[in-house]
Amino acid sequence: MKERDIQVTVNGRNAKKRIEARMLLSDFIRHELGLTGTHVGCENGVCGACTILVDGTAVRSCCTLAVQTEGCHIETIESLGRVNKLSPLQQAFWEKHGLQCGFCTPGMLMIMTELLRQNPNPDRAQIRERLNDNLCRCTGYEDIISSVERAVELMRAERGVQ
Amino acid sequence: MKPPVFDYEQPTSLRAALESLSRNTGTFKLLAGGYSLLPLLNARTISPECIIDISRIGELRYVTEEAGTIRIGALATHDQVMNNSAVIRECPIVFEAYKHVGNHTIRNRGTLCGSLCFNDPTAEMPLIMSLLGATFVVRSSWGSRTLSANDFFKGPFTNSLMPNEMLVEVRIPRQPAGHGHSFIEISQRYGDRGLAAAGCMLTLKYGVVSDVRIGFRNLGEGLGRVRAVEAELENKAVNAAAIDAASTAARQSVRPEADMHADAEYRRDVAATLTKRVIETALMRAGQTSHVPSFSGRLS
Repeated sequence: MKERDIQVTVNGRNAKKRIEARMLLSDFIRHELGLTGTHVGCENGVCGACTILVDGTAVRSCCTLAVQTEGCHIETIESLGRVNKLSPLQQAFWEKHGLQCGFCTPGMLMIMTELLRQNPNPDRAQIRERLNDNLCRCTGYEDIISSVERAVELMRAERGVQ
Repeated sequence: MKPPVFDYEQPTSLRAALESLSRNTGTFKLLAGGYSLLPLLNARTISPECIIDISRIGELRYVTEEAGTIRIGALATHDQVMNNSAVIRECPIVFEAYKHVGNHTIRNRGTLCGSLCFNDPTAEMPLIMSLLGATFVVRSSWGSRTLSANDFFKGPFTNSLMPNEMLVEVRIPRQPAGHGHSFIEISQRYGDRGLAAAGCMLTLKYGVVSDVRIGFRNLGEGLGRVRAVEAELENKAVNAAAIDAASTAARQSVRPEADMHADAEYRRDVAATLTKRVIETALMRAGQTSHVPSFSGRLS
């Protein structure tokens, strides 16, 4: 069969579509669901711009077929915050200039969302190690690391931890 | 670019997958994690008529230890293998090498067996499995056979699977107690594709080394363990001269090719230097978890 029905949960909402088996998860999210926050960079698995979370783990959506995620829980950048109510991670990237052109940012935010769930208090070395997953051609990475450190502070304050 | 049109099957049991392999007469590829396959499909380097997605075969997603043998199922992800307590305890070289395998996102979904089948010359795990003496359990709907690393791996990007066969399990036998290990890879930046890599495992008793296993990656076609290098140390007393001899043997044994990143002569130098380093590090680590006195001090 070249086509298939899939049903997934995207950012808490149910989505059901008939799609070609060859459709990439990144294209499914952008073209079928209209969630264009996920960026497509290299379509080669190198840059990480298209990273989203599938069942809580970071996944390169350009190197995943949409049909592989049948029944899965998908989280994209749209699940984090809104323009008038940024999530702590987004707020931190804003404050610390964690982006310039912004193309890599959705992927950066998603890999760091996964990291902060696994480890709410990463040190600079741990943030750097995870940053190895994704490419940014503007910032030189230092501001991204500082942004994640700032996000840790903001999230600790939110939880009432000193 | 986008993948070409293909038929898609999603068997949910090993039996159904093997039947699917036997039934398919056209070109097909197995899909597990997808991080090697999808880039090739996206670039249309390959255009199989059918993709058989085995990622839903839950019975193949395991890492277990039984009587000292670690069994890794076809769908165990890199992350699962890397962080398995038995693997970390029994064969620490796996964890050391895994720091160089892709990155966290890749290891989340990529599978060990997928990487072994793909056999990218820069991939670390084919060398590690050779050093560990792992065996490869291969099945088809006709039966099964068990191959050594030597028999399983062929040249770059090739293995010895028949079209109707599938790698279903990798078995790592019990390793010598208190063995020393080391894996070192160099690349232009941490996380990049490896320019060259070397690994060493050995046992040290009363100043004599035995069960020496040394091998290289991306330093010439078909190189796994290199007996000529191992022979310089096997059953010999460790001293700087023996290590130098192994290092010289490495320089002579590797057959690196030049590319845009490094010429062949540089890579031969690297092979010699890495050989020295992996032996020294393995010697220092040998015996640290047993009663065998550990070797400390630098030999060069």
